[in-house]
Amino acid sequence: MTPVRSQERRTGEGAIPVADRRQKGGGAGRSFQKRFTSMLLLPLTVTAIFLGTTLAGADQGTVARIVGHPFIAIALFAFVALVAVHMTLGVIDIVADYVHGTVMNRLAIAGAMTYSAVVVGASGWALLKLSLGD
Amino acid sequence: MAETSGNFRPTSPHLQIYRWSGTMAMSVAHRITGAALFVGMGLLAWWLVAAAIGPDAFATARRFLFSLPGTILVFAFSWALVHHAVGGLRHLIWESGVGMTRRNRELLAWGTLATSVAATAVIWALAYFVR
Repeated sequence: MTPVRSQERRTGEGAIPVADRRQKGGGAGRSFQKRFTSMLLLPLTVTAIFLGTTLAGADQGTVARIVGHPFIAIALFAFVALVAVHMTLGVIDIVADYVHGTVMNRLAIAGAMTYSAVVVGASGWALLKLSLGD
Repeated sequence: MAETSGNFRPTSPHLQIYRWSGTMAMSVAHRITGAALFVGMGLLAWWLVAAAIGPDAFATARRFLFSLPGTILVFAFSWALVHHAVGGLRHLIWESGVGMTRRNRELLAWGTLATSVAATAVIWALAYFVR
């Protein structure tokens, strides 16, 4: 690691970005994945919020027609799938902080992964069905 | 310092020992909104599945989402989503090495809250008036 002068350390100018320090395997890898998904999620989140605003209070026919449009269905699925990855990584961090027993730790992570998989599976099925027009 | 010998392992000072700062408050808010969004994604999945099943299932979901608890949940979800996204952007800015001075990091922290509150208000105003 390159030495950092004390002034730089204090101001943070010239700090080494976390993403550049990534390594395979351990915690830094998970940290990088979380940041990578977060960057992809920024534009998708704006899209999802715009859709939600447009569809607030709409009836089933309108929702099915708009959400069922292939481009929108793909964007929404990308949003849900990336959120699922990102939120699983986030929950693993939370579990690491608060759940200390090995068994409970693994159970909690397995539970979070199962929940995320159900969210992706259910949303994916719904979006596929809507985009194929029943 | 009393418990550093024997079977006790030293622990780092916990939350209550620090004076609250903007960055600390937003760090806590980031984790809470993240955990809330984890739960809230189930609500989004349910809404999508209901739309895919048909008009009856969707009407049930719609009735719940328009009830008082449902509206509160959707409002909380929308703010949490905006706040977590803006907070994530703030972390990405910091990780590029920018905005780390004392003044700027507090500015970015409180700016996150101001932005998320304002953006959520605009989103709900749009949803209300456009329809």
